[in-house]
Amino acid sequence: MSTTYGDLRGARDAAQTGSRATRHEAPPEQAVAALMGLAIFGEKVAARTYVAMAEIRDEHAELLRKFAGMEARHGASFLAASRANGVEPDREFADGELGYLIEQVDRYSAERDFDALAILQGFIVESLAIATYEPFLAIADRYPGATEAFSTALADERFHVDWITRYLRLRYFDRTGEFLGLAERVNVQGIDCVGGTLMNIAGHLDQVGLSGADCAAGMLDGYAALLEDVGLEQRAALKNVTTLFAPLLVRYQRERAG
Amino acid sequence: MVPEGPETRPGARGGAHAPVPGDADEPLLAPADADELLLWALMARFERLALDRYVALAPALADAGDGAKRAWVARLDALPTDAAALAASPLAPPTDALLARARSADETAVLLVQGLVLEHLGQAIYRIAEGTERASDASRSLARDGLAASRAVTAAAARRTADAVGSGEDLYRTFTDHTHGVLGALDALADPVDAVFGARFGLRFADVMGEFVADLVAAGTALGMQRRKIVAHLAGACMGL
Repeated sequence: MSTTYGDLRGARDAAQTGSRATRHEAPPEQAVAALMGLAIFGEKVAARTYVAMAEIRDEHAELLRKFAGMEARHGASFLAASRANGVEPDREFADGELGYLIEQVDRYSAERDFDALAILQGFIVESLAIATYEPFLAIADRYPGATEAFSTALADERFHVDWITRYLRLRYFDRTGEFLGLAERVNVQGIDCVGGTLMNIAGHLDQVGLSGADCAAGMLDGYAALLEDVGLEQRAALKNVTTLFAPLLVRYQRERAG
Repeated sequence: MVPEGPETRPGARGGAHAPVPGDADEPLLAPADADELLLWALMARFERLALDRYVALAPALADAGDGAKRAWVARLDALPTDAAALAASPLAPPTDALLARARSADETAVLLVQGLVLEHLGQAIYRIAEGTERASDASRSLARDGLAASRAVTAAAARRTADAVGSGEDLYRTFTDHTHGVLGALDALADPVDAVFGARFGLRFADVMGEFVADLVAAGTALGMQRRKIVAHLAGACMGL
């Protein structure tokens, strides 16, 4: 498909003017504060999104409210771990990153577009979480309380992804073309938004001892693999996700080069 | 200023072979279509360098498909392209920089930089050009033939890579060492490609990258490299890391 990311990038740029300067040169303490802020407040947004999904579909409402509760508990456990390590989460950074996502969630909620929310939250946002929580566990023992908080969250996010995958497989069984159209529609803003956030924290991830590039690859490839699990061919999934990730990678290199 | 090199000399090395004449019914590329000629002038630079490297260091690739790449380069050389127009376009500086990193000096580099990375990049461009209704029939026909010639080379390159370089984790390490520079130079083409070819053909850098990565991952995993690691290498190189 042809990209239509130009206008959307403009919207994201306006929302994040303040975050760029911290992207590559922030001291480690600031990087940790930004990452924890995003994790804590991002989990709250996730809880809010699952509640929105529950309000659209009665038949799944009970389970989705449980998902929302799990996300809220992640946020609380991350906040406790953050405070136990003397880290004050950077709410301003998180707000700058999450505003664009909240706008997309609110729009789909108003349209009662459950499947778009399922892909946005259940696949794209969860892919970002998994792509960062998983490698973070390798260094989490530096921060007391973090290993338990993040390992629980990682297991829960995978459970959510599994349910969303099963839901979409059943709903789009034998309708792969329709699913591709849905994914393409959600991806245009969803990847620009959530992938853009990953680019914005890549420098912070490097600062705390992770690899921003590996996390980006984890999200890109992980999300493409989820689309394949629903029924897309590997080539179609990778092509669509990479097409939308490419401008983000290019922009990152340019801004990094100054 | 276009630097002197094998890719800038029409007929260099492989050009000794006679061009394969087109089909009598084949549509002709109108010299007046400057944008389309610019595309083929650009592709000719990549293809000439590739053929030069194949002839010098990886003859199996030059001979693949009954010399498909030789015939393809000869056909590009026969087009009424304007090297000066390409040199004056915004495409020239990033192309110069990219090709400067692609002057592979041994067979392993040729197999990985040309035979794997740049051939698949070319295939992505040819596939999009072949599929766009905004291109002339002549350009779409050319793109189809360029794609076929490239596929003959990548098939041979995969076989030779497995034999000469290896597979799996060993290949991945060699692949990353040799291709990081070329992949890291791709980003500079983004704006020029979109500006010159985006509106005209719908040929946009992001779409090329989508096609390219999907194909490169498939080719790399067929050689035993891990998919996630290939994606990580591509992402890191494209991020300038």
